[in-house]
Amino acid sequence: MTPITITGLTKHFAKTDAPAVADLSLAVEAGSFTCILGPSGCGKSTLLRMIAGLERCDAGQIALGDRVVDGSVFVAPERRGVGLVFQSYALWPHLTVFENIAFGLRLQRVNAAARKARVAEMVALLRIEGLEGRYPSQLSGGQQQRVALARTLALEPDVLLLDEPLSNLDAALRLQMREELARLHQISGTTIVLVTHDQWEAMSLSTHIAVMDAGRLQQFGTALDIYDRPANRFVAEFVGSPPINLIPQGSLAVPSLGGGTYESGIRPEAIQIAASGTPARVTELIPTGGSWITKLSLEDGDQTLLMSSASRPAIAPGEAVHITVDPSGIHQFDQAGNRVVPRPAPATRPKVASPISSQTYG
Amino acid sequence: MLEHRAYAHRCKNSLNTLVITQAKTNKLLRAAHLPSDPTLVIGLICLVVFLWLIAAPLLAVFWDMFTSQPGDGHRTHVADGAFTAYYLERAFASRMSEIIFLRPLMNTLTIAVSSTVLALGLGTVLAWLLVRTDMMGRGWLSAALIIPFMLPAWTFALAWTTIFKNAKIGGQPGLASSMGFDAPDWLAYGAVPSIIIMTLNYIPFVIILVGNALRRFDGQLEDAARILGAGPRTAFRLVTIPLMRPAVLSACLLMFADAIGEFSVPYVLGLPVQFETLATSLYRAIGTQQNGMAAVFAGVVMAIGIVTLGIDTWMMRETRRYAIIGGKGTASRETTLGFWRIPAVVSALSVFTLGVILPLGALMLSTVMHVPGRFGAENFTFAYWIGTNLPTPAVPTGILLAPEFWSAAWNTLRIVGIASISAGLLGMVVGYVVVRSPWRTLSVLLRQITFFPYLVPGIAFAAAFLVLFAVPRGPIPALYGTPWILLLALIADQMPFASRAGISSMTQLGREVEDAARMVGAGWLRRMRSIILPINKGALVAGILMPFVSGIKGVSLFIMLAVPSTDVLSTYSLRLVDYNYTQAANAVVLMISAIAVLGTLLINRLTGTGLARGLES
Repeated sequence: MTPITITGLTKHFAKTDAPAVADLSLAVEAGSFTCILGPSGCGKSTLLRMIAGLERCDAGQIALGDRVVDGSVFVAPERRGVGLVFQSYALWPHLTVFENIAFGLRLQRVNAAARKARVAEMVALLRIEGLEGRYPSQLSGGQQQRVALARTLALEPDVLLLDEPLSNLDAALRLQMREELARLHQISGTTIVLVTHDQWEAMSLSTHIAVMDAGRLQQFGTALDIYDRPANRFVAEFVGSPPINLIPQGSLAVPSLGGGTYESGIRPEAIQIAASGTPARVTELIPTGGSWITKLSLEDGDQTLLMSSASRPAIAPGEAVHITVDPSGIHQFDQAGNRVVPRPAPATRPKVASPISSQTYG
Repeated sequence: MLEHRAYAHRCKNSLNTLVITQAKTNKLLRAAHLPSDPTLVIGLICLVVFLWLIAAPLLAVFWDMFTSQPGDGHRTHVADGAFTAYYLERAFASRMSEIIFLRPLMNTLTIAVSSTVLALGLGTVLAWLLVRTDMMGRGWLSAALIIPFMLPAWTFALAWTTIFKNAKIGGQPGLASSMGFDAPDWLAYGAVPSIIIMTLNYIPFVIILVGNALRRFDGQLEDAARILGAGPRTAFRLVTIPLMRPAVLSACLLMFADAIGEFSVPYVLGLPVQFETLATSLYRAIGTQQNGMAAVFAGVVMAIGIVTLGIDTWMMRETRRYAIIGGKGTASRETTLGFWRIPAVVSALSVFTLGVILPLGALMLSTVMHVPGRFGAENFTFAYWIGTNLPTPAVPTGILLAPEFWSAAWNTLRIVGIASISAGLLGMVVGYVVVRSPWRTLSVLLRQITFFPYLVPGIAFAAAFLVLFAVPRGPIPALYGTPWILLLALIADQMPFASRAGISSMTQLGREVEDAARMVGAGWLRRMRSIILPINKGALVAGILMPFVSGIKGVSLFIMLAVPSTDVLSTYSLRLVDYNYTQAANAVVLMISAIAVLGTLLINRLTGTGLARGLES
């Protein structure tokens, strides 16, 4: 149960001018499951490697519990009590599964019998019994990942860091490993920090999400916070599938929530077909398995909107329809991209779809 | 030859599976094959040609070991051509074994083992400095330290004698001698200088192979160990070293196999002190018409080569058991040298000085001085390059004006050029047949037979050619003394590289592109001319240039098979060495070195890959 406190963390790599991580502060609660979510190259892996001690920060500080590990001092990775599971698993190809898992125990001079017992425990925990004598190249991707997890968990780290743990797995395995990780978190109560570019992974696993872009923290909150109250245009656009409809203020009559509204974001699921409302034309119906995406173009102007619905809407391409928007699915941003006015909390707001007038708001 | 070996070796290991899969597919498609498809016919012709060029000479050597050679009747006491164990007995179990066989064997093993071990130690340290530390000038040094690999090994041998030649043999004294230091024999000739020179020549090879392995090494494997509580040293010992071992051992065995067959260095440096190796003994046996003994030497050299490379192949198979799993992999962090930065860069620079500047400098200096070591203005001259009326009767002009030089240069270009082009094209054809053949056995046979010269050191292969083609056999007239024997030997010697390159590019090509051409009605010849060859143009150019550079540098084949009418640059310069025309010999060697370096740079430019990458994958 170790909290991680990061303050003003900055990291430059010599070759680039832009910092990989810039003035980042984050308080990860003890025992939480925190995801660091962001597009590739946003600095999230660098952040993880700094927590692990594989990179040194240029400015700022990292503390594990009360212990400062980077900043005024630098604690080497092997002395941090942190576990890291690499994206490519980084299993040692010249060692068997047993030897891989027992490696850290061997370094701690745990005796052979205890080592064997601990490996057996790990193998059982991760359900990879019977593979102990194999080499990593003889394992499937899912098995390799379980071995990598077992190797890390064998040492009971205070903090467990996971680098894109599900991205190399196929769909069925992803679901299975997701459950496995959730179970491990419940059993161990370890503080887990997971890095991913996949919002599904972040949403489905974590208690908290930190969204990063260009080395900076964009928003830190629960999964629902991030989705329902995006702090800025980037977060709104990055989280959500199909992506949010971003429309310039004025092209669809959305009442401005305050001064300075520049753009509105409308969640696709907030759009509904109604008897009256803004006229639009259906251009395409796209089935996506469990749900449907409808492409609409507004009658006045060339704005295209995506609407998503759980069932097939009773309309056909080419048809003229009217749409309404659930105000809870509307987010407004100023010219700098920041959220304009936090709308009231969802619970206190009546869930009534309000038709938007077709007039241009001016 | 070494670069061929390394290249062909990697290709072989990575391609086996692919080719087998392809062959299986072919089997299924056999029914669909049109009778007009000449793949099978071409494959069979290739097979016959290579049986004749590769298998027959080697079998002939084997045969000669056990049969009484013409004129040896009074020794073997059997009729010419009858079975005899005389040669084997003489080499292994007679009063003469010690001198004839054991001493050359020990000499060969001494220089091969010593130079391999030394090159491995120094090369690994340099590779580590270049790849994993913050040593100054790494970019420049990693190019500079590779240069010795582009130069023929015997360039260094000539440079050594130019510097250290003492009063023991006639002709002009060495630089050191004329400046007051008369080197003792052990320093001037024989084992010590051979070991030093071969070490310098192999260091770049180790830097390339070990450096690449280090570069490709997934830094996360070390990071993972650190996270689990291993300090930097422990992580290096438990993770890095075991994972680097296969690459290092493989480099070791390839060097050793090459060193066993090395001819030119001991030939230049060993003569004055009767320092013989298996390769020079083989050459001398041929020179004194002892074909039976030559066959025994060739057989022993081949056996050592085959065993060594067999071990290498076996080890590679063992390694594949835990083949490195692909992953994103991050570059390993650089070690900060701190105080050691200066000593590190100084030692790297001194290797460069010893391996490039000193030898080339000494050779160049020697070509512009009348008498070595005298630095007065009157002693400097360009006469040995462009002068006339020189006091050297066999070459009375500077070499750039000597017709012999130009005819040797033309011969080199002609013979090596034609051989390289033929080998490159044949390699493509072999690649095509191996990948497309409807008859799997043909694929396997062709693949293996074209690979075989890789197991046989050049000098033994040349001896085998001499045995088979020196006299008329059946419809084939005696080829010795004609450019044909050189040409054929060069082609056969270059086939391992050429066929691997061909198989590799044909496998990558897949059969769809050709099927697509067939669908629009293109016949076989049209498909070859308009589809297959143009697509493989890049591979073909590389497959021609690489043997060309290696052929220019090579000595073993030429010294055995060339006669004055087919003089090439390397034999021409070695003859000048024999005449003790230091300046002229060194000038020719410098010209060869220039061609070899420029050719290598051209390959790098054309293929867009560095020499380092060309050695592998």
